[in-house]
Amino acid sequence: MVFQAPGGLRSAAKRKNTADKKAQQANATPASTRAAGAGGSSSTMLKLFTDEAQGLRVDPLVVLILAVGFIFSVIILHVLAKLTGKFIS
Amino acid sequence: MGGFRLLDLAKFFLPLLPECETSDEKISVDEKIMFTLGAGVIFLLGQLPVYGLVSQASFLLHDPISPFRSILASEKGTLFELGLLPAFTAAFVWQLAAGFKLINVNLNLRGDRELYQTGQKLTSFLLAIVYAFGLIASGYYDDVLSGYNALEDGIPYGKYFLVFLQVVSWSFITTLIIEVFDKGFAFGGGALSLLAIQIATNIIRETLGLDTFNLPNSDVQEPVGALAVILRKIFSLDLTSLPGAIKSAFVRTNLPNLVQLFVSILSVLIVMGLQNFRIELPIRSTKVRGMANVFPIKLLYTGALPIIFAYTVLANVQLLGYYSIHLLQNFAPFLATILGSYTVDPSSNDLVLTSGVLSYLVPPTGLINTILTPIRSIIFSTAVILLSTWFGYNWSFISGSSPKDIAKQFKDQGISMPGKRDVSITHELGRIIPVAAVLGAFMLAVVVLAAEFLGGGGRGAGIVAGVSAALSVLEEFMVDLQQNGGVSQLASAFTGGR
Repeated sequence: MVFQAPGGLRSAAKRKNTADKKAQQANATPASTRAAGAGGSSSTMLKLFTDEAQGLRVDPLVVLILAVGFIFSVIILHVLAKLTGKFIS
Repeated sequence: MGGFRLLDLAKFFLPLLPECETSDEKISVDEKIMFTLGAGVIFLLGQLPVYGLVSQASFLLHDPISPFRSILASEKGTLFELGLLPAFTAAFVWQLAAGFKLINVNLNLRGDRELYQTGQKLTSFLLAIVYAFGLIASGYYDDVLSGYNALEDGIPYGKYFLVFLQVVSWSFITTLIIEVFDKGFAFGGGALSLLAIQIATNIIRETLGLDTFNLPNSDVQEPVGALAVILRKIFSLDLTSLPGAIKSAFVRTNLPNLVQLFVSILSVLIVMGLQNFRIELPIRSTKVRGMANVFPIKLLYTGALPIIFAYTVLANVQLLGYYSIHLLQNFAPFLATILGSYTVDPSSNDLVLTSGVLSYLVPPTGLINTILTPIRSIIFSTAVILLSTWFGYNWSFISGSSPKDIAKQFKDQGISMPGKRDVSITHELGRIIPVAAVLGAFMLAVVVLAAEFLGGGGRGAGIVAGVSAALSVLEEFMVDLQQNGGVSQLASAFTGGR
Protein backbone atom coordinates (compact mmCIF):
# COMPACT_ATOMS: atom_id res chain seq x y z
CA MET A 1 0.00 0.00 0.00
CA VAL A 2 1.48 3.27 -1.08
CA PHE A 3 1.35 6.16 1.32
CA GLN A 4 -1.49 8.37 0.27
CA ALA A 5 -1.11 12.03 1.09
CA PRO A 6 -4.25 13.75 2.30
CA GLY A 7 -5.93 15.35 -0.63
CA GLY A 8 -4.64 12.86 -3.15
CA LEU A 9 -1.59 12.45 -5.30
CA ARG A 10 -2.03 15.62 -7.28
CA SER A 11 -1.93 17.74 -4.16
CA ALA A 12 1.26 15.98 -3.06
CA ALA A 13 2.92 16.78 -6.34
CA LYS A 14 1.84 20.37 -6.05
CA ARG A 15 3.21 20.56 -2.54
CA LYS A 16 6.51 19.14 -3.67
CA ASN A 17 6.64 21.67 -6.48
CA THR A 18 6.10 24.63 -4.18
CA ALA A 19 8.58 23.26 -1.69
CA ASP A 20 11.15 22.86 -4.48
CA LYS A 21 10.50 26.36 -5.73
CA LYS A 22 10.91 27.79 -2.25
CA ALA A 23 14.13 25.87 -1.68
CA GLN A 24 15.43 27.04 -5.03
CA GLN A 25 14.62 30.65 -4.19
CA ALA A 26 16.29 30.36 -0.82
CA ASN A 27 19.41 28.78 -2.26
CA ALA A 28 19.70 31.05 -5.30
CA THR A 29 22.90 33.05 -5.33
CA PRO A 30 22.59 36.71 -6.26
CA ALA A 31 23.31 37.59 -9.87
CA SER A 32 25.32 40.69 -9.07
CA THR A 33 27.10 42.36 -6.19
CA ARG A 34 24.31 44.90 -5.92
CA ALA A 35 21.74 42.14 -5.62
CA ALA A 36 23.88 40.79 -2.78
CA GLY A 37 23.57 44.17 -1.12
CA ALA A 38 27.19 45.17 -1.53
CA GLY A 39 27.08 48.02 -4.01
CA GLY A 40 28.35 47.54 -7.52
CA SER A 41 26.88 48.05 -10.97
CA SER A 42 23.34 49.39 -11.07
CA SER A 43 21.06 49.53 -14.07
CA THR A 44 22.67 52.64 -15.50
CA MET A 45 26.07 52.64 -13.81
CA LEU A 46 28.95 50.31 -14.45
CA LYS A 47 31.01 49.74 -11.34
CA LEU A 48 33.88 47.33 -11.21
CA PHE A 49 35.57 47.60 -7.85
CA THR A 50 33.38 48.26 -4.86
CA ASP A 51 34.61 45.73 -2.32
CA GLU A 52 37.61 45.96 -0.10
CA ALA A 53 40.01 43.13 -0.87
CA GLN A 54 43.09 42.00 1.03
CA GLY A 55 45.48 43.34 -1.55
CA LEU A 56 48.32 45.79 -1.47
CA ARG A 57 46.41 48.62 0.21
CA VAL A 58 47.00 52.09 -1.16
CA ASP A 59 45.40 55.40 -0.36
CA PRO A 60 43.39 57.01 -3.19
CA LEU A 61 45.68 60.03 -3.04
CA VAL A 62 48.63 57.74 -3.62
CA VAL A 63 46.96 56.47 -6.79
CA LEU A 64 46.53 60.01 -8.09
CA ILE A 65 50.09 60.95 -7.14
CA LEU A 66 51.34 57.83 -8.90
CA ALA A 67 49.44 58.86 -12.03
CA VAL A 68 50.87 62.38 -11.92
CA GLY A 69 54.34 60.98 -11.34
CA PHE A 70 54.04 58.72 -14.35
CA ILE A 71 52.82 61.57 -16.54
CA PHE A 72 55.71 63.74 -15.41
CA SER A 73 58.26 61.05 -16.17
CA VAL A 74 56.87 60.82 -19.72
CA ILE A 75 56.92 64.62 -20.06
CA ILE A 76 60.54 64.70 -18.85
CA LEU A 77 61.43 62.07 -21.44
CA HIS A 78 59.81 64.22 -24.14
CA VAL A 79 61.70 67.29 -22.96
CA LEU A 80 65.00 65.41 -22.84
CA ALA A 81 64.41 64.11 -26.33
CA LYS A 82 63.72 67.67 -27.54
CA LEU A 83 66.84 69.01 -25.80
CA THR A 84 69.27 66.45 -27.07
CA GLY A 85 67.52 66.37 -30.42
CA LYS A 86 68.06 62.69 -30.49
CA PHE A 87 66.16 59.63 -29.53
CA ILE A 88 67.63 57.94 -26.50
CA SER A 89 66.64 54.35 -26.11
CA MET B 1 32.85 22.11 -2.02
CA GLY B 2 35.73 20.73 -3.97
CA GLY B 3 36.36 21.04 -7.63
CA PHE B 4 38.24 23.71 -9.43
CA ARG B 5 36.86 27.19 -9.75
CA LEU B 6 38.09 29.75 -12.23
CA LEU B 7 37.75 32.29 -9.48
CA ASP B 8 40.46 30.62 -7.41
CA LEU B 9 43.03 31.65 -10.01
CA ALA B 10 42.64 35.21 -8.79
CA LYS B 11 43.73 34.11 -5.33
CA PHE B 12 47.39 33.94 -6.36
CA PHE B 13 47.37 37.55 -7.45
CA LEU B 14 45.37 38.89 -4.52
CA PRO B 15 48.39 40.03 -2.45
CA LEU B 16 50.18 41.48 -5.46
CA LEU B 17 47.58 43.76 -6.99
CA PRO B 18 47.35 47.30 -5.67
CA GLU B 19 44.05 47.92 -4.00
CA CYS B 20 42.48 51.26 -3.22
CA GLU B 21 41.34 51.54 0.38
CA THR B 22 37.74 52.26 1.21
CA SER B 23 37.28 55.18 3.50
CA ASP B 24 36.34 54.53 7.13
CA GLU B 25 34.31 57.66 7.55
CA LYS B 26 31.74 59.12 5.21
CA ILE B 27 33.20 61.21 2.45
CA SER B 28 31.64 64.66 2.24
CA VAL B 29 30.20 66.02 -0.97
CA ASP B 30 32.96 68.61 -1.20
CA GLU B 31 35.66 65.98 -0.93
CA LYS B 32 33.91 63.97 -3.62
CA ILE B 33 33.79 66.98 -5.93
CA MET B 34 37.50 67.58 -5.38
CA PHE B 35 38.35 63.96 -6.06
CA THR B 36 36.17 63.86 -9.17
CA LEU B 37 37.76 66.99 -10.61
CA GLY B 38 41.29 66.01 -9.61
CA ALA B 39 41.06 62.47 -10.93
CA GLY B 40 39.37 63.73 -14.09
CA VAL B 41 42.12 66.26 -14.82
CA ILE B 42 44.83 63.69 -14.13
CA PHE B 43 43.05 61.21 -16.38
CA LEU B 44 42.97 63.77 -19.18
CA LEU B 45 46.75 64.18 -18.94
CA GLY B 46 46.87 60.80 -20.64
CA GLN B 47 46.32 62.59 -23.93
CA LEU B 48 50.08 63.07 -23.89
CA PRO B 49 51.75 61.55 -26.96
CA VAL B 50 53.66 58.35 -26.35
CA TYR B 51 57.39 59.01 -25.98
CA GLY B 52 59.51 57.39 -28.65
CA LEU B 53 57.27 58.18 -31.62
CA VAL B 54 57.85 60.85 -34.23
CA SER B 55 56.01 64.15 -33.74
CA GLN B 56 52.40 64.20 -34.96
CA ALA B 57 52.40 60.43 -34.87
CA SER B 58 48.63 60.42 -34.45
CA PHE B 59 48.28 61.52 -38.07
CA LEU B 60 50.71 58.96 -39.40
CA LEU B 61 49.44 55.91 -37.56
CA HIS B 62 47.34 53.55 -39.62
CA ASP B 63 44.44 53.11 -37.27
CA PRO B 64 42.26 49.98 -37.62
CA ILE B 65 39.60 50.92 -35.06
CA SER B 66 39.04 54.63 -35.69
CA PRO B 67 35.19 54.45 -35.63
CA PHE B 68 35.30 52.88 -32.16
CA ARG B 69 37.80 55.23 -30.55
CA SER B 70 35.39 57.89 -29.36
CA ILE B 71 33.19 55.62 -27.25
CA LEU B 72 36.23 53.90 -25.72
CA ALA B 73 37.82 57.24 -24.74
CA SER B 74 40.90 56.18 -26.63
CA GLU B 75 43.16 58.26 -28.84
CA LYS B 76 45.75 56.99 -31.20
CA GLY B 77 49.39 57.80 -30.65
CA THR B 78 48.78 58.84 -27.04
CA LEU B 79 48.99 57.07 -23.71
CA PHE B 80 45.25 56.46 -24.18
CA GLU B 81 45.93 54.06 -27.01
CA LEU B 82 43.69 51.42 -25.42
CA GLY B 83 41.44 53.85 -23.58
CA LEU B 84 38.79 52.21 -21.47
CA LEU B 85 38.60 49.10 -23.67
CA PRO B 86 40.29 46.74 -21.17
CA ALA B 87 38.18 48.04 -18.28
CA PHE B 88 34.89 47.82 -20.20
CA THR B 89 35.67 44.38 -21.56
CA ALA B 90 36.69 43.02 -18.17
CA ALA B 91 33.61 44.49 -16.48
CA PHE B 92 31.18 43.14 -19.05
CA VAL B 93 32.76 39.69 -19.21
CA TRP B 94 32.75 39.17 -15.45
CA GLN B 95 29.44 40.77 -14.64
CA LEU B 96 27.59 38.97 -17.41
CA ALA B 97 29.30 35.70 -16.48
CA ALA B 98 28.23 36.14 -12.86
CA GLY B 99 24.73 37.15 -13.91
CA PHE B 100 24.27 34.13 -16.14
CA LYS B 101 25.89 31.86 -13.51
CA LEU B 102 28.61 30.84 -15.95
CA ILE B 103 31.18 31.11 -13.20
CA ASN B 104 30.79 29.51 -9.84
CA VAL B 105 30.64 32.47 -7.49
CA ASN B 106 28.46 33.18 -4.51
CA LEU B 107 28.36 36.94 -4.22
CA ASN B 108 26.77 36.68 -0.79
CA LEU B 109 30.15 35.66 0.56
CA ARG B 110 32.62 38.40 1.18
CA GLY B 111 35.60 36.27 0.19
CA ASP B 112 34.02 35.45 -3.14
CA ARG B 113 33.26 39.07 -3.81
CA GLU B 114 36.89 39.96 -3.17
CA LEU B 115 38.08 37.31 -5.60
CA TYR B 116 35.45 38.38 -8.13
CA GLN B 117 36.66 41.96 -7.96
CA THR B 118 40.30 40.92 -8.18
CA GLY B 119 39.35 38.82 -11.19
CA GLN B 120 37.94 41.89 -12.93
CA LYS B 121 41.06 43.89 -12.20
CA LEU B 122 43.35 41.10 -13.30
CA THR B 123 41.40 40.64 -16.53
CA SER B 124 41.63 44.34 -17.23
CA PHE B 125 45.42 44.27 -16.67
CA LEU B 126 45.90 41.16 -18.79
CA LEU B 127 43.79 42.55 -21.63
CA ALA B 128 45.86 45.73 -21.61
CA ILE B 129 49.04 43.67 -21.90
CA VAL B 130 47.62 41.44 -24.63
CA TYR B 131 46.24 44.34 -26.67
CA ALA B 132 49.37 46.45 -26.39
CA PHE B 133 51.50 43.45 -27.33
CA GLY B 134 49.18 42.66 -30.24
CA LEU B 135 49.40 46.21 -31.57
CA ILE B 136 53.18 46.15 -31.46
CA ALA B 137 53.41 42.66 -32.93
CA SER B 138 51.09 43.66 -35.79
CA GLY B 139 53.47 46.44 -36.73
CA TYR B 140 51.05 49.20 -35.73
CA TYR B 141 53.86 51.45 -34.48
CA ASP B 142 56.47 50.54 -37.10
CA ASP B 143 55.98 53.61 -39.28
CA VAL B 144 56.12 56.13 -36.50
CA LEU B 145 58.95 54.98 -34.22
CA SER B 146 61.33 57.90 -34.18
CA GLY B 147 64.80 57.22 -35.51
CA TYR B 148 63.87 53.82 -36.84
CA ASN B 149 64.41 52.77 -40.40
CA ALA B 150 62.62 49.54 -41.20
CA LEU B 151 64.94 48.77 -44.12
CA GLU B 152 68.28 49.18 -42.36
CA ASP B 153 67.75 48.48 -38.68
CA GLY B 154 66.82 45.18 -37.16
CA ILE B 155 63.79 44.67 -34.98
CA PRO B 156 63.76 47.62 -32.54
CA TYR B 157 63.10 45.70 -29.33
CA GLY B 158 64.18 48.59 -27.10
CA LYS B 159 61.78 51.06 -28.69
CA TYR B 160 58.98 48.53 -28.76
CA PHE B 161 59.49 47.88 -25.07
CA LEU B 162 59.41 51.59 -24.27
CA VAL B 163 56.10 52.09 -26.11
CA PHE B 164 54.67 48.92 -24.59
CA LEU B 165 55.66 50.04 -21.10
CA GLN B 166 54.00 53.43 -21.47
CA VAL B 167 50.73 52.20 -22.96
CA VAL B 168 50.38 49.34 -20.48
CA SER B 169 51.34 51.42 -17.44
CA TRP B 170 48.82 54.08 -18.30
CA SER B 171 46.16 51.43 -18.75
CA PHE B 172 47.01 50.09 -15.27
CA ILE B 173 46.82 53.57 -13.80
CA THR B 174 43.47 54.15 -15.53
CA THR B 175 42.15 51.01 -13.87
CA LEU B 176 43.33 52.29 -10.50
CA ILE B 177 41.73 55.69 -11.11
CA ILE B 178 38.48 53.87 -11.95
CA GLU B 179 38.83 52.12 -8.63
CA VAL B 180 39.16 55.45 -6.80
CA PHE B 181 35.81 56.43 -8.34
CA ASP B 182 34.16 53.09 -7.64
CA LYS B 183 35.24 53.03 -4.01
CA GLY B 184 33.09 56.08 -3.41
CA PHE B 185 35.71 58.81 -3.33
CA ALA B 186 34.22 60.43 -6.39
CA PHE B 187 30.88 60.52 -8.17
CA GLY B 188 29.63 57.78 -10.41
CA GLY B 189 31.10 54.58 -11.58
CA GLY B 190 34.68 55.20 -12.61
CA ALA B 191 34.50 53.99 -16.19
CA LEU B 192 31.40 56.00 -17.07
CA SER B 193 32.56 59.17 -15.31
CA LEU B 194 35.90 59.07 -17.09
CA LEU B 195 34.17 58.41 -20.40
CA ALA B 196 31.90 61.40 -19.86
CA ILE B 197 34.86 63.62 -18.91
CA GLN B 198 36.87 62.54 -21.93
CA ILE B 199 33.99 63.01 -24.37
CA ALA B 200 33.08 66.41 -22.92
CA THR B 201 36.61 67.73 -23.42
CA ASN B 202 36.75 66.19 -26.88
CA ILE B 203 33.61 68.01 -27.99
CA ILE B 204 35.13 71.34 -27.00
CA ARG B 205 38.44 70.50 -28.64
CA GLU B 206 36.80 69.34 -31.84
CA THR B 207 34.68 72.48 -32.02
CA LEU B 208 37.03 75.21 -30.91
CA GLY B 209 40.45 73.55 -30.71
CA LEU B 210 43.02 76.09 -31.86
CA ASP B 211 46.08 73.84 -32.13
CA THR B 212 46.99 73.51 -35.76
CA PHE B 213 48.12 70.39 -37.52
CA ASN B 214 49.77 69.67 -40.78
CA LEU B 215 47.21 67.70 -42.73
CA PRO B 216 48.45 64.30 -43.86
CA ASN B 217 49.75 64.21 -47.41
CA SER B 218 49.47 67.96 -47.89
CA ASP B 219 51.19 71.17 -46.82
CA VAL B 220 48.09 72.91 -45.43
CA GLN B 221 47.92 73.74 -41.74
CA GLU B 222 44.48 73.65 -40.15
CA PRO B 223 43.21 73.96 -36.58
CA VAL B 224 41.60 70.93 -34.94
CA GLY B 225 38.32 72.67 -34.14
CA ALA B 226 35.73 72.63 -36.90
CA LEU B 227 34.39 76.03 -35.95
CA ALA B 228 37.90 77.36 -35.38
CA VAL B 229 38.66 77.01 -39.09
CA ILE B 230 35.96 79.54 -39.96
CA LEU B 231 36.62 81.79 -36.96
CA ARG B 232 40.30 82.00 -37.79
CA LYS B 233 39.53 83.24 -41.28
CA ILE B 234 37.01 85.80 -39.99
CA PHE B 235 39.32 87.20 -37.33
CA SER B 236 42.27 87.48 -39.70
CA LEU B 237 39.96 89.43 -42.08
CA ASP B 238 40.96 86.98 -44.77
CA LEU B 239 37.52 87.13 -46.37
CA THR B 240 38.50 86.02 -49.83
CA SER B 241 39.32 82.55 -48.62
CA LEU B 242 36.33 82.40 -46.26
CA PRO B 243 34.05 80.38 -48.57
CA GLY B 244 36.83 77.87 -49.06
CA ALA B 245 37.33 77.66 -45.30
CA ILE B 246 33.60 77.11 -44.71
CA LYS B 247 33.53 74.36 -47.31
CA SER B 248 36.60 72.77 -45.81
CA ALA B 249 35.06 72.96 -42.33
CA PHE B 250 32.14 70.88 -43.58
CA VAL B 251 33.81 68.30 -45.74
CA ARG B 252 37.27 67.62 -44.34
CA THR B 253 37.69 64.04 -43.22
CA ASN B 254 41.09 64.09 -41.56
CA LEU B 255 40.07 66.45 -38.75
CA PRO B 256 36.70 66.92 -37.06
CA ASN B 257 34.21 68.65 -39.36
CA LEU B 258 31.03 70.63 -38.89
CA VAL B 259 28.75 67.83 -40.08
CA GLN B 260 30.01 65.70 -37.21
CA LEU B 261 29.44 68.64 -34.85
CA PHE B 262 25.83 69.13 -35.95
CA VAL B 263 25.15 65.41 -35.79
CA SER B 264 26.60 65.40 -32.28
CA ILE B 265 24.47 68.33 -31.12
CA LEU B 266 21.37 66.74 -32.60
CA SER B 267 22.02 63.41 -30.90
CA VAL B 268 22.65 65.17 -27.57
CA LEU B 269 19.25 66.84 -27.84
CA ILE B 270 17.51 63.58 -28.74
CA VAL B 271 19.12 61.72 -25.85
CA MET B 272 18.14 64.48 -23.42
CA GLY B 273 14.59 64.19 -24.72
CA LEU B 274 14.52 60.40 -24.42
CA GLN B 275 15.88 60.68 -20.90
CA ASN B 276 12.67 62.40 -19.79
CA PHE B 277 10.33 59.60 -20.83
CA ARG B 278 9.27 57.62 -17.81
CA ILE B 279 6.41 55.73 -16.26
CA GLU B 280 5.58 56.81 -12.75
CA LEU B 281 4.18 54.11 -10.51
CA PRO B 282 2.29 55.35 -7.47
CA ILE B 283 3.82 54.10 -4.22
CA ARG B 284 2.78 54.51 -0.62
CA SER B 285 4.55 54.05 2.65
CA THR B 286 3.18 51.31 4.85
CA LYS B 287 4.64 52.93 7.94
CA VAL B 288 3.68 56.56 7.64
CA ARG B 289 0.10 57.35 6.85
CA GLY B 290 -0.54 59.63 3.93
CA MET B 291 2.98 59.40 2.51
CA ALA B 292 2.26 58.98 -1.18
CA ASN B 293 4.90 59.29 -3.84
CA VAL B 294 5.79 58.03 -7.27
CA PHE B 295 8.46 55.59 -8.34
CA PRO B 296 9.78 56.52 -11.78
CA ILE B 297 10.83 53.88 -14.28
CA LYS B 298 12.79 55.52 -17.04
CA LEU B 299 12.55 54.52 -20.66
CA LEU B 300 16.35 54.45 -20.78
CA TYR B 301 16.31 51.99 -17.93
CA THR B 302 19.83 50.78 -18.59
CA GLY B 303 21.23 54.17 -19.60
CA ALA B 304 24.17 54.19 -21.96
CA LEU B 305 25.34 50.69 -21.12
CA PRO B 306 23.73 48.80 -24.06
CA ILE B 307 25.46 51.06 -26.58
CA ILE B 308 28.77 50.83 -24.76
CA PHE B 309 28.39 47.05 -24.66
CA ALA B 310 27.63 46.79 -28.37
CA TYR B 311 30.58 48.97 -29.30
CA THR B 312 32.91 47.23 -26.87
CA VAL B 313 32.08 43.88 -28.44
CA LEU B 314 32.55 45.21 -31.97
CA ALA B 315 35.80 46.98 -31.06
CA ASN B 316 37.14 43.76 -29.57
CA VAL B 317 36.18 41.88 -32.71
CA GLN B 318 37.87 44.47 -34.91
CA LEU B 319 41.02 44.59 -32.82
CA LEU B 320 41.35 40.81 -32.64
CA GLY B 321 40.60 40.67 -36.36
CA TYR B 322 43.41 43.14 -37.00
CA TYR B 323 45.86 40.95 -35.07
CA SER B 324 44.64 37.76 -36.76
CA ILE B 325 44.95 39.27 -40.22
CA HIS B 326 48.54 40.21 -39.51
CA LEU B 327 49.25 36.82 -38.04
CA LEU B 328 47.58 34.90 -40.85
CA GLN B 329 49.09 36.91 -43.65
CA ASN B 330 52.33 34.96 -43.46
CA PHE B 331 50.87 31.49 -43.04
CA ALA B 332 47.48 31.50 -44.68
CA PRO B 333 46.98 34.55 -46.87
CA PHE B 334 43.69 33.16 -48.12
CA LEU B 335 42.18 33.09 -44.63
CA ALA B 336 43.43 36.60 -44.03
CA THR B 337 41.60 37.86 -47.13
CA ILE B 338 38.41 36.16 -45.96
CA LEU B 339 38.70 37.96 -42.64
CA GLY B 340 39.29 41.29 -44.27
CA SER B 341 41.74 43.41 -46.17
CA TYR B 342 42.76 46.94 -45.35
CA THR B 343 43.56 49.95 -47.46
CA VAL B 344 44.89 53.22 -46.16
CA ASP B 345 42.52 56.14 -46.49
CA PRO B 346 44.80 58.87 -47.94
CA SER B 347 43.12 61.79 -46.20
CA SER B 348 43.01 60.48 -42.65
CA ASN B 349 45.64 57.74 -42.80
CA ASP B 350 43.17 55.37 -41.12
CA LEU B 351 42.93 51.78 -42.17
CA VAL B 352 39.66 51.12 -43.99
CA LEU B 353 38.32 47.62 -44.46
CA THR B 354 37.47 47.08 -48.09
CA SER B 355 36.39 43.46 -48.14
CA GLY B 356 36.09 40.40 -45.98
CA VAL B 357 33.97 39.40 -43.03
CA LEU B 358 35.19 42.17 -40.75
CA SER B 359 34.25 44.90 -43.19
CA TYR B 360 30.57 44.27 -42.47
CA LEU B 361 31.07 45.18 -38.83
CA VAL B 362 32.28 48.75 -39.23
CA PRO B 363 29.99 51.77 -39.38
CA PRO B 364 29.70 53.53 -42.74
CA THR B 365 31.63 56.77 -42.97
CA GLY B 366 28.85 59.00 -44.22
CA LEU B 367 25.48 59.27 -45.91
CA ILE B 368 26.83 58.50 -49.39
CA ASN B 369 28.82 55.58 -48.08
CA THR B 370 25.70 54.27 -46.32
CA ILE B 371 23.70 54.27 -49.52
CA LEU B 372 26.49 52.87 -51.67
CA THR B 373 27.14 49.95 -49.34
CA PRO B 374 23.62 48.95 -48.28
CA ILE B 375 24.46 45.41 -47.19
CA ARG B 376 27.21 46.61 -44.91
CA SER B 377 24.96 49.28 -43.42
CA ILE B 378 22.19 46.77 -42.78
CA ILE B 379 24.46 44.15 -41.23
CA PHE B 380 26.18 46.69 -39.03
CA SER B 381 22.87 48.17 -37.83
CA THR B 382 21.48 44.72 -37.14
CA ALA B 383 24.55 43.82 -35.13
CA VAL B 384 24.38 47.00 -33.03
CA ILE B 385 20.63 46.73 -32.44
CA LEU B 386 20.75 43.03 -31.57
CA LEU B 387 23.71 43.43 -29.23
CA SER B 388 22.28 46.42 -27.41
CA THR B 389 18.73 45.10 -27.01
CA TRP B 390 20.02 41.71 -25.91
CA PHE B 391 22.21 43.42 -23.35
CA GLY B 392 19.47 45.82 -22.26
CA TYR B 393 17.03 42.98 -21.66
CA ASN B 394 19.47 40.84 -19.71
CA TRP B 395 21.09 43.68 -17.83
CA SER B 396 17.72 44.70 -16.41
CA PHE B 397 17.60 41.28 -14.74
CA ILE B 398 21.19 40.81 -13.59
CA SER B 399 22.28 44.29 -12.57
CA GLY B 400 20.64 44.20 -9.17
CA SER B 401 17.83 46.44 -10.38
CA SER B 402 15.57 43.64 -11.58
CA PRO B 403 11.85 43.61 -10.73
CA LYS B 404 12.53 41.11 -7.97
CA ASP B 405 15.33 43.22 -6.44
CA ILE B 406 13.23 46.37 -6.50
CA ALA B 407 10.25 44.55 -4.95
CA LYS B 408 12.61 43.40 -2.21
CA GLN B 409 13.83 46.97 -1.70
CA PHE B 410 10.22 48.14 -1.43
CA LYS B 411 9.53 45.55 1.20
CA ASP B 412 12.64 46.46 3.20
CA GLN B 413 11.82 50.16 3.10
CA GLY B 414 8.15 49.67 3.89
CA ILE B 415 6.86 50.78 0.54
CA SER B 416 3.84 49.31 -1.14
CA MET B 417 1.78 50.04 -4.21
CA PRO B 418 -1.83 50.99 -3.60
CA GLY B 419 -4.15 48.16 -4.53
CA LYS B 420 -1.34 45.63 -4.95
CA ARG B 421 -0.21 42.87 -2.66
CA ASP B 422 3.50 42.46 -1.91
CA VAL B 423 3.67 39.40 -4.12
CA SER B 424 2.20 41.10 -7.13
CA ILE B 425 4.57 44.07 -6.96
CA THR B 426 7.25 41.92 -8.60
CA HIS B 427 4.75 41.00 -11.27
CA GLU B 428 3.71 44.60 -11.78
CA LEU B 429 7.32 45.79 -12.09
CA GLY B 430 8.12 42.82 -14.31
CA ARG B 431 5.53 44.03 -16.78
CA ILE B 432 7.25 47.38 -17.16
CA ILE B 433 10.99 47.11 -16.50
CA PRO B 434 12.08 44.62 -19.20
CA VAL B 435 9.96 46.41 -21.80
CA ALA B 436 11.46 49.77 -20.83
CA ALA B 437 14.98 48.31 -20.89
CA VAL B 438 14.59 46.74 -24.34
CA LEU B 439 12.77 49.70 -25.84
CA GLY B 440 15.22 52.18 -24.35
CA ALA B 441 18.22 50.22 -25.62
CA PHE B 442 16.61 49.92 -29.04
CA MET B 443 15.84 53.63 -29.33
CA LEU B 444 19.30 54.61 -28.18
CA ALA B 445 20.79 52.23 -30.75
CA VAL B 446 18.64 53.82 -33.46
CA VAL B 447 19.86 57.30 -32.47
CA VAL B 448 23.46 56.10 -32.56
CA LEU B 449 22.98 54.45 -35.95
CA ALA B 450 21.31 57.52 -37.38
CA ALA B 451 24.28 59.57 -36.21
CA GLU B 452 26.69 57.08 -37.81
CA PHE B 453 24.79 57.07 -41.10
CA LEU B 454 24.72 60.86 -41.27
CA GLY B 455 28.49 60.93 -40.94
CA GLY B 456 29.12 61.17 -37.23
CA GLY B 457 32.36 59.27 -37.73
CA GLY B 458 31.98 57.26 -34.53
CA ARG B 459 31.46 60.43 -32.54
CA GLY B 460 27.69 59.99 -32.51
CA ALA B 461 28.03 56.81 -30.50
CA GLY B 462 30.59 58.40 -28.22
CA ILE B 463 28.41 61.42 -27.56
CA VAL B 464 25.23 59.44 -26.97
CA ALA B 465 27.10 57.24 -24.50
CA GLY B 466 28.86 60.21 -22.93
CA VAL B 467 25.67 62.22 -22.41
CA SER B 468 23.71 59.34 -20.92
CA ALA B 469 26.69 58.44 -18.73
CA ALA B 470 26.98 62.04 -17.58
CA LEU B 471 23.26 62.12 -16.77
CA SER B 472 23.62 58.95 -14.66
CA VAL B 473 26.54 60.52 -12.80
CA LEU B 474 24.56 63.73 -12.32
CA GLU B 475 21.69 61.73 -10.87
CA GLU B 476 24.00 60.16 -8.32
CA PHE B 477 25.43 63.59 -7.53
CA MET B 478 21.99 65.08 -6.89
CA VAL B 479 20.96 62.16 -4.67
CA ASP B 480 24.18 62.53 -2.72
CA LEU B 481 23.70 66.26 -2.34
CA GLN B 482 20.14 65.83 -1.09
CA GLN B 483 21.08 63.10 1.35
CA ASN B 484 23.60 65.49 2.83
CA GLY B 485 20.86 68.06 3.28
CA GLY B 486 22.25 70.11 0.43
CA VAL B 487 25.26 71.07 2.54
CA SER B 488 28.16 71.71 0.24
CA GLN B 489 30.49 74.61 0.72
CA LEU B 490 31.57 74.43 -2.90
CA ALA B 491 28.00 74.47 -4.15
CA SER B 492 27.12 77.39 -1.91
CA ALA B 493 30.22 79.23 -3.09
CA PHE B 494 28.94 78.92 -6.64
CA THR B 495 25.39 79.91 -5.88
CA GLY B 496 26.39 82.86 -3.72
CA GLY B 497 25.60 81.31 -0.37
CA ARG B 498 21.95 80.69 -1.06
